[in-house]
Parts: sequence; structure tokens; C-alpha cells
Amino acid sequence: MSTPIKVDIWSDVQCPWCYIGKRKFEDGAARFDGEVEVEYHSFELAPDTPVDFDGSPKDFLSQRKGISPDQVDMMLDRVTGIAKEVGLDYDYDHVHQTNTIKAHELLHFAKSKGLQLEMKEALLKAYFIDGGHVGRVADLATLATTVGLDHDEVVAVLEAETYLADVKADVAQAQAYGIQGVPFFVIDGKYGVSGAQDPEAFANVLAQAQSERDSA
Amino acid sequence: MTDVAPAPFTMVGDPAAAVCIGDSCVIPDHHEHSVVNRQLVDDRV
Repeated sequence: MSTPIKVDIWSDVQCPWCYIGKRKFEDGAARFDGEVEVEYHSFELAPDTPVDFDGSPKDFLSQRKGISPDQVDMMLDRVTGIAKEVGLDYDYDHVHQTNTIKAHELLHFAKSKGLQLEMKEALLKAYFIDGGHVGRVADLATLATTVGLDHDEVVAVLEAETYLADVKADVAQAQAYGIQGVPFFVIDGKYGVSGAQDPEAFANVLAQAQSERDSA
Repeated sequence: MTDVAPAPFTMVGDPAAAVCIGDSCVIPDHHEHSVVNRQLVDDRV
């Protein structure tokens, strides 16, 4: 029996292309005739964002980038339309812009419990679709219970910053690799794939990695 | 400025695929085209 193809994915919770890319990758992996093992790694797109940013993503982009509210609306509408194409109903009217460091710590804790993939999906869904807050410890602990993690244990590890070093290590690894944007996929340690590619691209590179293993 | 070690992998796929860099998430042209094209087809129907 062959070992699964390892896929390391650098991603942030408040990255619209990461959720869209996740769906496209999952589609590509489903077309691949083999097993895949996925591990998510932390990447902070805006680490200086306050946990309780007082405003919407529209306010955030307007203030940060100097883009007019009308232009931001157009951008968000376009992204929302593209998300819909892969079955995701982004709700930017209720998104809570925040700092994602605690969400990344939670993902590392979830990994230690074998629940990282479930936690990743729950965080992205909470942020983009359900209007959840993914920056506060209390909200994260409540969300974590939906995938089977213990509420009090989550609060304890997040308040103690037990997994902060692991988050920083992921970020440092991304920098060492020269990763500047997310999502970013490393397939079997051999191929780098940047962005929300079409499913076929993911299926092709997985097949290529498998073929090289088989012929080695 | 520190040197960045070269990535130990080969880049594959569409180099213009959508990514978020910093707080900027660019929409590639081909995405817009696909959305617009679909809307045209929908309008026709």
C-alpha cells in the first residue's frame, strides 16, 4: 500500500481565495486516483489588524488601501460571485474583520487532536459565511466545540499561547520558501502551486507526483 | 535584507491564479472574463 501524497497548504482564515482555493483543491483531489494527506500551515496576511477592528471589510479596505467604498463594493461583489461558482455563499455584509493569530493557534491545537481539517473548514465558514468572529478566544472556543474540541481546553491553550511558536514557525517557513501570497500548496515536497488554481491543475500535479513515486 | 533560501520545489500551474498578498486580494482578469461570459449566457437565456 502506498503512502498518501503529502500536501502542505499555507493559508489564512480571512483570505477569500484560500477558501475558494480549498474547494478547488478538494475538487482536484477527488479527481486524483490516489490518497492525499493535507496539513495546513499558518500565514498571516494582516498581522497588525486589531482583534476588535471597528468596521466592516469595506471600511478596512477603504482605510488601508484608500479605495473608495464603491470600488470596494464592486471588488467584494466580484469575489462573492466567484465564490458562488464553487458553492460558497460569502456574506461580506456580516464579516468581522479581525486578527487571525488566535485562529492559527487553534488550528495547531486542532492538529494535535487530529481535527485540523475540520477546524479549518469551520473557521473559514464562520468567517465568510456565518458572520462569526474568529479573533476572540471566547468565540473560537465555542466554534471549536462544533468539531469536537473541548471548550475549556481551547481557552486554556489560547490564553497560554501554547501554540504561538508553531504559528511563528509556519510563517518563518513560508518566508524561507519565498511564499508571498496565499493560498500556497506544496505537493509531496516537490511541487509548488500558488493560488486558487482550477481543479484540473491540482489533479494533474497530484498525478505527476504519484507517477514519479511509482517510477522511482 | 536577509537572503531567502531557494524553495526546494518546482513551481507548476497557472502563474496568474488568484492569491492574497498582504491585505490585497487581486482578482485575475480571466476570473472576471469567466463571470462576465456566464452572465452573458444567462442574459441570453
